[in-house]
Amino acid sequence: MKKIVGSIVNIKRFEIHDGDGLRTTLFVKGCPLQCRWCHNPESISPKSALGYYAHKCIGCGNCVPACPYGAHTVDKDGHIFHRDRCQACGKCAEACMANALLFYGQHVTPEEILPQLTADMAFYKNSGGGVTISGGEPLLQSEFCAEVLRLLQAQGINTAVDTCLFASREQLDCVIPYTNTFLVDVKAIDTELHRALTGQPNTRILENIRYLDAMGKDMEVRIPYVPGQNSGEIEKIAEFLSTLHCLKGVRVLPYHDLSGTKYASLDMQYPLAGTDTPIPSTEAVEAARDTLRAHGIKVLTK
Amino acid sequence: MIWGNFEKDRADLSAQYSEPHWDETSGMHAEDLRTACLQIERDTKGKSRMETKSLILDFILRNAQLDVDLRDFFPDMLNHDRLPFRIRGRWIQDLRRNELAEILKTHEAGQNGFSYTGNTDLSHCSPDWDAVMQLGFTGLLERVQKAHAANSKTEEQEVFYTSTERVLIGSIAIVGRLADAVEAKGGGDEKAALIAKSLRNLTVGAPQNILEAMQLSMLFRMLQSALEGEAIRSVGGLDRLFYPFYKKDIENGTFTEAQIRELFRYYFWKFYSMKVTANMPFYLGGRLADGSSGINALSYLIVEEYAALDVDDPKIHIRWYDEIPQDFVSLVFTTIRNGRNSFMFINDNVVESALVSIGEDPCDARNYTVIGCYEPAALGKEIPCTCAGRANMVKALLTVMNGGLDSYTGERVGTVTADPDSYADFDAFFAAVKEQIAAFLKGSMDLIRAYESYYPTISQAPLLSSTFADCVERGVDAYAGGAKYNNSSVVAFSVANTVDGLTAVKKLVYEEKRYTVSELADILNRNWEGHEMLRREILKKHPKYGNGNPEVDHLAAELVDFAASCVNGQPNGRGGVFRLGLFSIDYRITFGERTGATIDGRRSGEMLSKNMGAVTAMDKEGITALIQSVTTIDYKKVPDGTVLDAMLHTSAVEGESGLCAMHALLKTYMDCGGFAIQFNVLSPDVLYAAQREPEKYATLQVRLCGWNVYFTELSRAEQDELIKQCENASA
Repeated sequence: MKKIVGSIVNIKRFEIHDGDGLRTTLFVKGCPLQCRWCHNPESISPKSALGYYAHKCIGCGNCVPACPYGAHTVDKDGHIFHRDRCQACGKCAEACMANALLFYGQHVTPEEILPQLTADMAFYKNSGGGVTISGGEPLLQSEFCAEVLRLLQAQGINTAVDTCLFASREQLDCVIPYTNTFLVDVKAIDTELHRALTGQPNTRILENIRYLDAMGKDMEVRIPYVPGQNSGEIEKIAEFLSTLHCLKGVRVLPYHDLSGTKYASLDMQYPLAGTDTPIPSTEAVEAARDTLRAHGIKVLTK
Repeated sequence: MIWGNFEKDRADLSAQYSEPHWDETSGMHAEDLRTACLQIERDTKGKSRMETKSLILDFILRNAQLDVDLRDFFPDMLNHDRLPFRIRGRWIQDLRRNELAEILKTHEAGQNGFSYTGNTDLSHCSPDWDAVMQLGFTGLLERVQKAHAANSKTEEQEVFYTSTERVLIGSIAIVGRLADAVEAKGGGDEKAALIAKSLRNLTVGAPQNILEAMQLSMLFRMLQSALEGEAIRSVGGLDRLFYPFYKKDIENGTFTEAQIRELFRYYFWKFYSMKVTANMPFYLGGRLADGSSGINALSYLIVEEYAALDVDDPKIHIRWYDEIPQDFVSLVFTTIRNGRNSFMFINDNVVESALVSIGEDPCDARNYTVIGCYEPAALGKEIPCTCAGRANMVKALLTVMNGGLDSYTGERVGTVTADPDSYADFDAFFAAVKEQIAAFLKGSMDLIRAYESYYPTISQAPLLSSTFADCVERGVDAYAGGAKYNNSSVVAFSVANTVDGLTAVKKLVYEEKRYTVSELADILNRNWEGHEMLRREILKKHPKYGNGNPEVDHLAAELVDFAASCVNGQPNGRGGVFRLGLFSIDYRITFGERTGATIDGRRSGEMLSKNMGAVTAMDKEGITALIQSVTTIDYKKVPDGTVLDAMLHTSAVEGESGLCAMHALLKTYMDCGGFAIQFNVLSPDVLYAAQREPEKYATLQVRLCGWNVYFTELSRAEQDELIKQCENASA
């Protein structure tokens, strides 16, 4: 049998924002979209990468001999990370004693990570919780995710998939049998705006939402609310969602800008940097929720 | 106006204990009182000290000056200047200088280096509140008189009975004096008349309504804790204790619910004003004797009134049991999330088993009270001496690595003297550490026993004893072995440092073979100087207690099992047994200061690990993994108790889903056999802001280690430590 391997960013226990009850969230790596407001930039590229948090570096030089490619040098001015030489093998992150080097994109098999995902079984049981796969985009690694979900369900664990649904029908079909709940992002209805905000059109996404709805799958929609980006779309999103039949509820997630250091650690540009995008006011978020409610949609808060 | 004045009165009443206004005409001046009491001591020289003490108490009760404040419902101010307490202190000093000089010399190195200590513990007790409330002073007196007539055979018994009667009669007299004073000062005032009448009723019988019950509670606390000298460390299960009065008063229209709520505010405000070290505890809930649920309407009311006061004292213990109403737990969680942190949940299932394991009757174990921070004791049956001894386990590890030498004192401690490099494998090394821990625990117990053999000459507790049915029946003082269970406790702490340290030695010496034990000891003796990378490697690479790692967690369980086998059930010096506790409370600071660098990565002088928690920031997998580790230990072997401090980021427990998460954490922790748990719900941002602008955050409460404090009143080091824990919880 072929060994299924996935690329993951990390596993976080004790999550309450990714579905029902107390959950463990598996963050997988790689996403077909590049949302301007993305707060998990380390999970966008499917390729492994090294994050360098310069402010934590103590200049000990442990990483220098650990790297087979000479990507780290330390001289009197301190540590320099030469990203151009980095092959993302992760050896330096192992050697770093200051947690200044973090490795994203560990390759694992479903069996390997299962113990971590099931460790909180007693907490799931007492809270109606379970495991959520998020990312990145789980459907980009649909075979790996389907196997993880299958193994979890076999142990009676509730499963959820947090997805943008920019995926082929085959990818989606692959995980449906093993997924209890879909947490689906809707960012915009206007397809050109969607392309501008995320790099991709939304036709396939909306089709997939209808497909899940027609199937009667348990589904919660999440709308990132980003002032000046997609905040004008709420009315249209509400109209679209009001045509669905099986929607469990909708959550409005207010934009936050706490991802700056993550972008810097990856030498990535934060797309919203310099755009003066404000944190939305409570009133604005509440108004967006009211718009949804006006269309008869159940709005989830907290 | 009797009612509706609390908000107006609270500011003035907060100074009632710190700035008393003694009525000069109400009794003898403090200096004259002192002279007279010392004269009593001289006059009774050669007689039983029980007699001396009871005569002194009686004299004070009849002659000390009073202070009554008509704004307060609970007059309890008596100008005794803690005379009996100070006289007892002198008796203990004399004992140390003379009879105990030799044994103290033997254990000097152990005690000075804070490897272990053993002492008296004449605090950490509780009267039998059931008896106090059911009988009142007069009923307690009648019970003693009856037993006196029936049982008095020896001279000691005769002295016990007459002394106890004397102090109870004196207690009734002081209540009468307070009633007189209130009446005289109040003139025709309506509130004064109500208070005086209630006090007067307590001089002739048991309390008849909730005001009288609260007055009795307050008076008894003052008489036993402040005057007689055995600090009461629990005012009992207030919901079950006061509920019958509450119910009757509402039914009869004696008081309205609003009035009872106001009484509770005044009552709690007294505790807040006392500034009792480590707060004044009481408990709510728990299973009743017949197994039914102890939560009642008063439980809810009490939590609401505590929350409304917005103060850091008293502290509230919630006795958790399987059937505890979820809406009550939700109320407590909501209160905690709103910044009123003064709660601790303790597991009825585990406590009952733990007390039974040291020989207590299941019925007695079920009716336990929670002493101090999280130490259970059978109500009215047990004198537990919960904080008599201490053993610093990581120091045992450290001294074994040094061939038995304590680098702090430069002297040998314990029994291990072997060359640290002579252990063939990790098991042999661990065995030596255990031997050293056993020696520390034995040292502590030997010291406690030595003190205890002299308890009858230093501590006499007629008032406390009068509430214990067994003491009355036997005619023996509660500290002389008169209680049903006359136990003493030793706490062993720094569990996480010890377990992580053992793991480090296992990896570095016996698995990787990169260092010898003595090489590591040298590095520690130089406080890691030149070896910072090794320290960081240990912190980052080695598995740590607190992350659900079975290898490390089983080591912790083995360590605790071993300590329990050394302590639990061992005979003490008063006819009872020893009980093991595992809390470190603020010993983590004081003992940490005298503990050199330890191989878990801790630097010299730094704090030791807190209670059952991981070493700060070493619980890298979050709270669920921490709970997994902590509950690997069998707490049925920890009758003196311990706690897990759960630090939660505000955002992790917000909203309905956050409430659900807290329920799941608590229930899972208890289901898995955890002993007790307390929560801090904080965010680092708020703590940083409080450091920058303390005046804006004056009422920011934090749960410290077994009690509550205002964050801004902590030392900078303690503040930083909390911030570190909080940031780790947010990672």
